[in-house]
Amino acid sequence: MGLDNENPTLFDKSEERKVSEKELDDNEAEEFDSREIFDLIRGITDPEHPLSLEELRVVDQSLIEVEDSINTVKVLFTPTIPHCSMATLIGLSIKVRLLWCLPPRFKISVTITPGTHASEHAINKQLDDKERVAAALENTHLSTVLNKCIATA
Amino acid sequence: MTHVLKDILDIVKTGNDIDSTCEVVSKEILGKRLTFLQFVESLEEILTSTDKDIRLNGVNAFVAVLKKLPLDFFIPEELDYISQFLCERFIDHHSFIPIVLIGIEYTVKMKNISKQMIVRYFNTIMPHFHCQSQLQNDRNTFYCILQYIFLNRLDDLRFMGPDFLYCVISSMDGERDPNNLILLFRMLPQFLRNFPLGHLAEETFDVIACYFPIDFYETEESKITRDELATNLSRCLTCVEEFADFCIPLALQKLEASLKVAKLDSLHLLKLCCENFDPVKIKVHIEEIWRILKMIIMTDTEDSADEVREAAIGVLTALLYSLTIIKGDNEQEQLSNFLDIILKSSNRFLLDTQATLFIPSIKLLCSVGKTSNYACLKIANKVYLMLLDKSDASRSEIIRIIEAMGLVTNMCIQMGIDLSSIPGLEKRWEEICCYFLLYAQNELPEIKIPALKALKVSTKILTNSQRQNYYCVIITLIKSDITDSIRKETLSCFKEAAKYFKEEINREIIQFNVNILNQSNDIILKSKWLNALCSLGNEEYFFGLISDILSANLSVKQAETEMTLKCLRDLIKNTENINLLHHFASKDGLLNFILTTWINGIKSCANLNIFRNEIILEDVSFVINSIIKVINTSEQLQIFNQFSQYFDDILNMTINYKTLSDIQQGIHSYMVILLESILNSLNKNIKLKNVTLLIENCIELSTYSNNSMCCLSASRLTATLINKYIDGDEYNFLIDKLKLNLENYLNLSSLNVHNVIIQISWITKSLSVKGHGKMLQWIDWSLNLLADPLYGKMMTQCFKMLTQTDDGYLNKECFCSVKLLYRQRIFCYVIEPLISRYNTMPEPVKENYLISILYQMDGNTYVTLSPYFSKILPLLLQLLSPEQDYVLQSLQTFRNLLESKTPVLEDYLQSFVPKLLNLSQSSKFMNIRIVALQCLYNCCDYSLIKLLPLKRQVIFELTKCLDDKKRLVRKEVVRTKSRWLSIDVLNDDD
Repeated sequence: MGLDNENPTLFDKSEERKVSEKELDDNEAEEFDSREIFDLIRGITDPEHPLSLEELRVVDQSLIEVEDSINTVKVLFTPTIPHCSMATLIGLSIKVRLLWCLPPRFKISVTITPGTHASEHAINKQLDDKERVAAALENTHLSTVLNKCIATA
Repeated sequence: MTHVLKDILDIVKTGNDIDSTCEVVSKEILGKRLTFLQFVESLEEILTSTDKDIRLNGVNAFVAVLKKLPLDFFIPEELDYISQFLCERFIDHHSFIPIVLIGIEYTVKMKNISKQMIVRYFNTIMPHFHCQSQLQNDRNTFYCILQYIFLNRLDDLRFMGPDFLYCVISSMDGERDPNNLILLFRMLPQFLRNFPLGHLAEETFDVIACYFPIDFYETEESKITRDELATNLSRCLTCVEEFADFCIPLALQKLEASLKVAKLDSLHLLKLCCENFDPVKIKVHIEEIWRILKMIIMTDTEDSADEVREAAIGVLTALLYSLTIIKGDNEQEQLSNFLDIILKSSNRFLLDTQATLFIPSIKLLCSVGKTSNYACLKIANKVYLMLLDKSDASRSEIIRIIEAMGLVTNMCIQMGIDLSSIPGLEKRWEEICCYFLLYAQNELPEIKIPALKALKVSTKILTNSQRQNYYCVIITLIKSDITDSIRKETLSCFKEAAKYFKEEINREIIQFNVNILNQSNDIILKSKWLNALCSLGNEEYFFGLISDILSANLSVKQAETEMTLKCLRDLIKNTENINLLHHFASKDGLLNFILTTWINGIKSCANLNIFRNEIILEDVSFVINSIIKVINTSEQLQIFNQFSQYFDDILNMTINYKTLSDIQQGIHSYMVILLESILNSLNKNIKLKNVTLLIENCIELSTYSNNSMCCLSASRLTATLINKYIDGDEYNFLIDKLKLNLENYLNLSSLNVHNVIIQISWITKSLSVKGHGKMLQWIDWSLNLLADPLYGKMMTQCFKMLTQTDDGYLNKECFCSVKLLYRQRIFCYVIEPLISRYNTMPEPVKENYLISILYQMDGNTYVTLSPYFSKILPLLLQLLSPEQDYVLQSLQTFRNLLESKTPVLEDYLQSFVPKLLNLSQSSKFMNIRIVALQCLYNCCDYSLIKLLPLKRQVIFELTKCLDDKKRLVRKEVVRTKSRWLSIDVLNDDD
């Protein structure tokens, strides 16, 4: 089977987050911020290439919104090409990774950056459907692929 | 004589004990007391019996005797009868075949065997023998016969032509036993190369090819490996030219398989094809081969593809070598055509520098270019022009262009190609390095670094004017404030340039700037230059210079001295050229300068900021020690003799510290530090005059001095001296005396007890490392001292020291005696008393024992711990609760145990996992929470069967931790939780 995008464009990786003095102080508390969410998902592997979502710029820190006080996390992701058939799978892996790694109090929304994919609405709808996400995880084949993508995060 | 033959009838008839009887018979025959003919005649009744089992026994006896006789025993006539007999028996009954084969195997090796007899054998065997219906052993015998024939008698059978070939291939057709197969694969090339294949070539190939790729699972018992089979098989498949037409398609077909081994085998086979077959045959398939290779090399869909890609590149280079040797009118044409194909298909990947496949394509082209000068020129021309013509490149494009040009330049340099000789670049070749030079001055580090790397590669080919520029770039970079990674690249450029243009570097960079350096007061600038100079420490040319400049900056100003010593220290630590240290140690060298300066400085109470500065002294002592460690014994002796006079007060006179003046006390305290740095690594064979006195003086200094550095140095020196020079029972009184003295010191209120404890610890360590007879006494004493409320806590450090291996002291490099497994010995000795006292002692001193236990555990591996584990574990588990004081320390110990996959802990998972979960939620300290989570992470190394029952609970509890207020803890929770979530995930391999 041929690949959807055989020769994608590569982007630079950002540096590791520096640990601040404040973070080492036992008495301080840190809220969730967009960088922390970005760090959770940037290492996910693309299903087609051994490259991370960050290197392909599918996810970007500027497209992540976090409001700790009202418990919401909104992530936009950008498929490498508008007809990418892997978009749903990528979205699903981001969503699952966040479901597993964020406290349950958060409402997580993962959607496609508007105007970057041919079937944007259909995919957004699928990703927002709890039942369908749960069903996808029950599917052995799908969960194997998902685990492979998430394992590197 | 006759009685042997008399018995033989009955023995052979019954079939019992044939072997030993035959042994006797053969000895009789060898001793000429019996002839072979007599023996055969005596068997007449048996060999003509109507019962086939009895006949079989007869043949068995016949062959058994035959095999005991030497290879040159029979004359041709006898051998002729024997071979005739064996042939008749071969067709007698199928059950005779195995034993007859053994007979044939032995007789073909005989000296007097003739062509006629061998032909007779095969004429009998060919129509009547179906190899694959025999047992494995018998097939093996037949293959051994073939092997012997292939090697020695092939000419005798050549006239049989295809008939013999057919016999061989039909005998192996369908063979499944790996032992037989490896034998066949090993011997077939010899046969195939020397026997005309004729119309059976394809048939022969098919019989062998059906094993490709080898599908064989190695077990622990099998002596054969898959790789062995595969290598030998590929050799068979490529051993004759006739196979070329079948072999290349086979390799290409199997290459499309998804299994990695199949791919690797096919690539290996393809490579052999390119190496062995006529290039004209290869040429026919070239487009097909390239199509598949391109797919493998350029795409990277699998993580494990690296090995495959390497192999594919191997094939490609073999292919190109093969093309370069095509002879004829159009010598270069074939290669040129193929290169065109390669360039054409990589073209589209080269257009977009930011795409994933850009660098891989360049790398591919570079390995292609390294196969011949012609290819190199062609590729360099294409890539250089393409890259040089890229205008208005963006920042990230430039990075890749530089990287790519660096790779191509490297290829040209490796192939010895002059850039100016590349077609199309005659006028432009200087642009390439100018491009690097330009971007080396770019502001952005991500551009600067690849440009510097490329410059380093092209150092040799820079023109004069470019070199001037290059030096300016280096000078500017050395002087400016740059990040560590850029400095590293700059210095490696500097080093590379110094390798090829020593005088120029000296003249243009060093001399020019050193004058400024010496006059400047800017300490930061100075340190940059010194660092840069020290990076040239591998080049002998600069040794003198480095030495001079370093000594010029030592001992005048405090800050400068500190900085210079730091550079020197790094230089000594990192240098790869040991000659530098010998240079330092030479007469009037740097070592001499440092020692003289500091001895004078300390004795004359000069500038205290420099000569009595602890940081500086520490570095000085490190430098002296490191130099002395590497030089040889005669050099050591020379230095020791030269300087020992200055230490006369300590070496040869009894010191009574309290009676000394303040000035003298100070001088002694600092001199002992220098003395230690000289003596520490001195060879044992260099004898000191009065060791006992020196040891006592050191103890005096270490206990009375108020200076902590002096105390440590003196204690260490005592330990080193005891380890090196105190041997044998006659010194036992000295050790006892020292112990008595130290015991008294402990009771003196006027003394700093801490100093005494340090001294005791070092002596204990020294004795233990050496395995001295008195060591247990001292360890017992240390154990008792732990119970003291006043200094028990300090004493715990002793137990830490006992397990540590310090790089610089009391080791074999310093010529100390170190007993094998001394740490384990100490552990076994102290652990039980430590545990029992921890359980019985009252509260405040109890913890001293606990800390010592933890130190001891940290320093030893599981193998040592295991016998005591049942006693240690309850203690550890008890500690794993949030109220305990030493929870962090014990958690760390626990983590180390888990990291090393301590097997015993697996059985206790159920007891400690809940405790760890509790700690990771309820501890007040983030460090404890983090280490507890790391412990939980490491638990996943244990077997799935033990983990699964806990998984639900762990995931549930960890979800609560996800909302921890500290980010660092959350990071750890995510890592741990992900690991637990994936414990039962199936991998592709399973």
